[in-house]
Amino acid sequence: MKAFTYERARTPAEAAAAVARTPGAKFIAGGTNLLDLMKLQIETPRHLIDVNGLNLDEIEKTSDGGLRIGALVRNTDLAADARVRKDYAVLSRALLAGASGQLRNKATTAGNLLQRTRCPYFYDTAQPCNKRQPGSGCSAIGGVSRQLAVIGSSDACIATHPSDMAVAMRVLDATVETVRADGQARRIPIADFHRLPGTTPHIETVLLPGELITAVTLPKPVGGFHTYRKVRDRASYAFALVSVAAIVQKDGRGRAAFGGVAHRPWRVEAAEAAMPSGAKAVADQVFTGAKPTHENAFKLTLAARTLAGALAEARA
Amino acid sequence: MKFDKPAATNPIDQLKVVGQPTPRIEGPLKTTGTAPYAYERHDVAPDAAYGWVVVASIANGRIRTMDVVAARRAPGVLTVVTAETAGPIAKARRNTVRLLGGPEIQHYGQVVAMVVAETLEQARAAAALVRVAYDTEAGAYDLEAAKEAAVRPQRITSGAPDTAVGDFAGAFAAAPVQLDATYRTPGHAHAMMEPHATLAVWKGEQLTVWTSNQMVDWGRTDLAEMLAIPKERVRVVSPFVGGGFGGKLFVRAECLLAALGARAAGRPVKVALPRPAMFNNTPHRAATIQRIRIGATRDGRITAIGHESWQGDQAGGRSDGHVSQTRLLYAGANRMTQTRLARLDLPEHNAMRAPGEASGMMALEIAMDEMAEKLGMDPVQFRILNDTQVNPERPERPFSQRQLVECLRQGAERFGWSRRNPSPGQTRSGRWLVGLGMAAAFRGAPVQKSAARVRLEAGPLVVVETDMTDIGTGTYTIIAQTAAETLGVPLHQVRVRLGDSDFPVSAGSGGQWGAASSTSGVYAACMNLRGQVAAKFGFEPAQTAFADGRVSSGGRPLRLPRPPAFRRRMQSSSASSCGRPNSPPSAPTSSRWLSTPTRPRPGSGGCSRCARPAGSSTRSPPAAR
Ligand SMILES: Cc1cc2nc3c(=O)[nH]c(=O)nc-3n(C[C@H](O)[C@H](O)[C@H](O)COP(=O)(O)OP(=O)(O)OC[C@H]3O[C@@H](n4cnc5c(N)ncnc54)[C@H](O)[C@@H]3O)c2cc1C
Ligand code: SF4
Repeated sequence: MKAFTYERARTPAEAAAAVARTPGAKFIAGGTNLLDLMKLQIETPRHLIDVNGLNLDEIEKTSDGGLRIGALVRNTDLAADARVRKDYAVLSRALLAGASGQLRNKATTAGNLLQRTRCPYFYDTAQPCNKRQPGSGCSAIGGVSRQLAVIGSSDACIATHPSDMAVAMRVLDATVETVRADGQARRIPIADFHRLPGTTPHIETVLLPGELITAVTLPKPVGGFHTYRKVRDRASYAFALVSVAAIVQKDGRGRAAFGGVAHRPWRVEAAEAAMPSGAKAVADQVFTGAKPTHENAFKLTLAARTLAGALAEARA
Repeated sequence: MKFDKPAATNPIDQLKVVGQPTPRIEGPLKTTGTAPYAYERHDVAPDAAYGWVVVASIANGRIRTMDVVAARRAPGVLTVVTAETAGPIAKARRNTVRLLGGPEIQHYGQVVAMVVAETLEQARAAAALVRVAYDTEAGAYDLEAAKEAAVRPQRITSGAPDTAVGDFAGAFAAAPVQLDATYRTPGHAHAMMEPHATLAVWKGEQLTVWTSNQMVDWGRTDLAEMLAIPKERVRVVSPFVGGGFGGKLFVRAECLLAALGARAAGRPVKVALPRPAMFNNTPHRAATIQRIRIGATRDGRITAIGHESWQGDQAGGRSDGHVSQTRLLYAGANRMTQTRLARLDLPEHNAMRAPGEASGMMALEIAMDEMAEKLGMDPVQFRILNDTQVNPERPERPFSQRQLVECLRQGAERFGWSRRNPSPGQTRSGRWLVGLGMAAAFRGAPVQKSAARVRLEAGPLVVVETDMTDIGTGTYTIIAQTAAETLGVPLHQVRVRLGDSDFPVSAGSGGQWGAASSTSGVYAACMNLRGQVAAKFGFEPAQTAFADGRVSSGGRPLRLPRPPAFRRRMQSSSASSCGRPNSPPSAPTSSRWLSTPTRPRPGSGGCSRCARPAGSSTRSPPAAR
């Protein structure tokens, strides 16, 4: 870990301005991802701005019948919220499929969206990695890639986004609310929030320097059967090889987003029309153009089967 | 004492303490966090500096240059240890690779340097400033590719690498039902809860390491060898080990570097391997390729059985005995086993939890299941049919006792085997498919020489000392039970002190021999002590009873003698090998069971051979009762 300075922000706009102004500054929320990365010198911020005191930890109803989740709401509290459990059960399940009780007590909504990849080469500072050190190359291509992306990847990076929560947010059509360094607020649909790696895998979201997440909003409930299925090498405390967040209505229509397969939660709305015809029909369309490696081609079969499991569960 | 005959009636047969359920005597120390582990010995070295290792980022080649200037200048840094500054370090006999790499690099993640600083954070930050440039060389990492060039190792755990009986090839070719299958197992890495950790302190020429190690005397020997100092100048203390599983049978890099760092810094230094370093810097279970061929008659009698295995290791490395169990488990007149070792530039392979048996049994038992399926036979029946009451490679040698068939029958009965649906994928429980399967397994029961020292004292009554370790196995408790039973005293009057090279050399914890051997050593020492007590009272040893802390021989029971009237160190017959027959008696007054002695400081008037300075009190973890 490199030495750094630290301050507590008092208002969201002030926090955003401070990060934009100070070279090498970063926000810190729960710290469960950032501190780990700092210890390994994968992240080396020179200044930390603590956003925990910004009063962004409420969950409230929105005027259109949805929910507004403060950026600092802890994963534990979000998963346990009665409204979330009743109307957005897929979100609650996704959260509880992730990390551990202790980590979820600290982890925040915004921090979870911004957690970084678990690509093993990203973590090994002795290895080239375009995401950690732009231009140095990608060790995962031709390397150990079992965990990595099968679709939406590029010649520069084949990493996945590791979040479970974000996959549920994607299937729920959430919106990310932010405040920028100039004090302007904006709303970003979750579909546009995470970027594909392209030639700049180190730029992972559309956030501008200093832009602070203030909340994530969910539209009004869509009903249906909610489930989150996560398949991993260990039954607990591991990141997804493949996960599926699904909402299925009585008539068999529904939606599905996939985790563990791409640089962002992966959802192809057009494929969802095939839902009544079964998982394979949906998965075939969702993964059109997939480019798995020889080590992770199994994810395509696994994704289709995991969705089939979710659909069977919905019918049961 | 030699255990080479069937045991006659002996004090253990009473089973008053042994075999009785009892709370583990070391349990409360562990659950309350008061059992002292190596990295937390603030009591013995409150001024310890922190080491942080730097590891190689190539898998094979040489260090071209190493720049430690920035690291040396970083805040809080006391010293930087490298192969260059450390001078020549011999490779210890029990390790395959060198523990401090440079200039040659033998595997990825080999330790090449260590930074010592006032705080852990300073050491870690400075370690990131060490710049190493390498000349990389091509290496071999793929067992499949290296398989063809693999050679026959000199030996495997169970003896010869290859065996052959009858005409395997002919019998297999002629068998009406054949199975020829190849199985692959991946490498396995150690990651026990307590990482490899050591605190090293030099007092002049004398080195003490508080470390986490399963085999105190091996560690002492190897550390002395690497540092090229006499063994007598090294003391190894390892009273509690937070898991070992074979990964702590041998001294690892952190122990050597703690010693080197402490010498260079002129300060106590402690080092723990960071979790990511453990995967490449401790031994691991090597990947295997195993081919099994079984030939059988249509009614399921095995006529030919062959097991071949391949694994890799560094030059000078060794192979597990993956084929060993196949030599003994099932009948079959024509047989062969074969072991081949390939040369790979991967971190060294070594013992890990049932080394050989774990990988080998897996392959053999899957093959047996697959053969049963081919034969259309029940897998339990197939195994019962092929039971053997003699060593199938040497039919003239019958087993003294072998109850595999009874074991299989009882298991089948208790698990409801008869109600099993043999077709896979048919039984459901909610979301889950449920299957019922079986396998046989066995492991050898080796024993080793093991010494202990037992004496009678004023306070606790019975004190047992041995360098045996407790790796989470409950050694403190079983040794106390053994002494209590043999000497006829209540369990709470026995104090057990373990894991210190100042104590007699035990079997150590490994190879499945720990409990049997170490308690045998304690038993032997207790029997010696019984003899001496009997002699003191003029009793015939065989006619003397020890019960309830008293001794009797026909007449009225007498109290067990205590110091100062009776003060002699009694040792088991094998204890002579521990090399300290003349140690003066120690008379601790304040130590309690489980207490872990501290080293006498020079000039404190303490005893240089035993554990404790005269009159000083030892740190006594809270007694459990
Ligand atoms: C052992 C382990 C296992 C895990 N397993 C899982 C798992 O199975 N599934 C899963 O989904 N996750 C898992 N996680 C990840 C965990 O969910 C994340 O670490 C956590 O959600 C991050 O939240 P945080 O508040 O601690 O973020 P921090 O570490 O504080 O911050 C993360 C990033 O977000 C930025 N940031 C924080 N708040 C804001 C804000 N308001 N606006 C803009 N930027 C901000 C920070 O600058 C930083 O870059 C695991 C983590 C660990 C350590
Ligand atoms: S996949 Fe991405 S994160 Fe992984 S090594 Fe390549 S560039 Fe780095």
